[in-house]
Amino acid sequence: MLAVSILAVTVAAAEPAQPRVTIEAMLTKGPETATVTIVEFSDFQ
Amino acid sequence: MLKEYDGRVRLVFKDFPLPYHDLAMSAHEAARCAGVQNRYWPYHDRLFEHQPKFERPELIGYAIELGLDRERFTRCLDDHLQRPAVQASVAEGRALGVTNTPTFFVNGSPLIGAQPVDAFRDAINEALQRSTR
Repeated sequence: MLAVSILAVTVAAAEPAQPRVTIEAMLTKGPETATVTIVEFSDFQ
Repeated sequence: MLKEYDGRVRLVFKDFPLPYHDLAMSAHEAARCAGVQNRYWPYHDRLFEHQPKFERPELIGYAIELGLDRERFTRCLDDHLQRPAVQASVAEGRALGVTNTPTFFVNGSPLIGAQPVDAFRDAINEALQRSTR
């Protein structure tokens, strides 16, 4: 399974820190090149 | 929402089954088992359509409806082959302070709980503006 780790990177003082999460291609919709990444923690039940 | 922003937004789903939802862990494992057969998102959608009907026969039934290999899927589910991946996702959520669902992070900014579409639009637009500064 393809998995890519995103590390927290400080881009600018006003930019919130990116959450440190593993992005799995199987659980991702949309292009890798997208400017905005929405990480959703959800429960099916 | 993804269509509306046409390539500028991506969604990363993370498993966060809540401990007091007895059947949630199995459902999250089942979705990943479907994903192993390249049917993660159809199965994911099926689960949300049928929640909370997540008993084992129902989970297997959804797999059959989606044309998955029943034996392979059942083995994956019964042997909990995807449980470590679900647990890893939960651990990442906890490390970020997630305690309830749904919890979203839009380029790192938290949005907690079910939100109106406009709340996402606002957060996305703000993130897009920041990216051009």
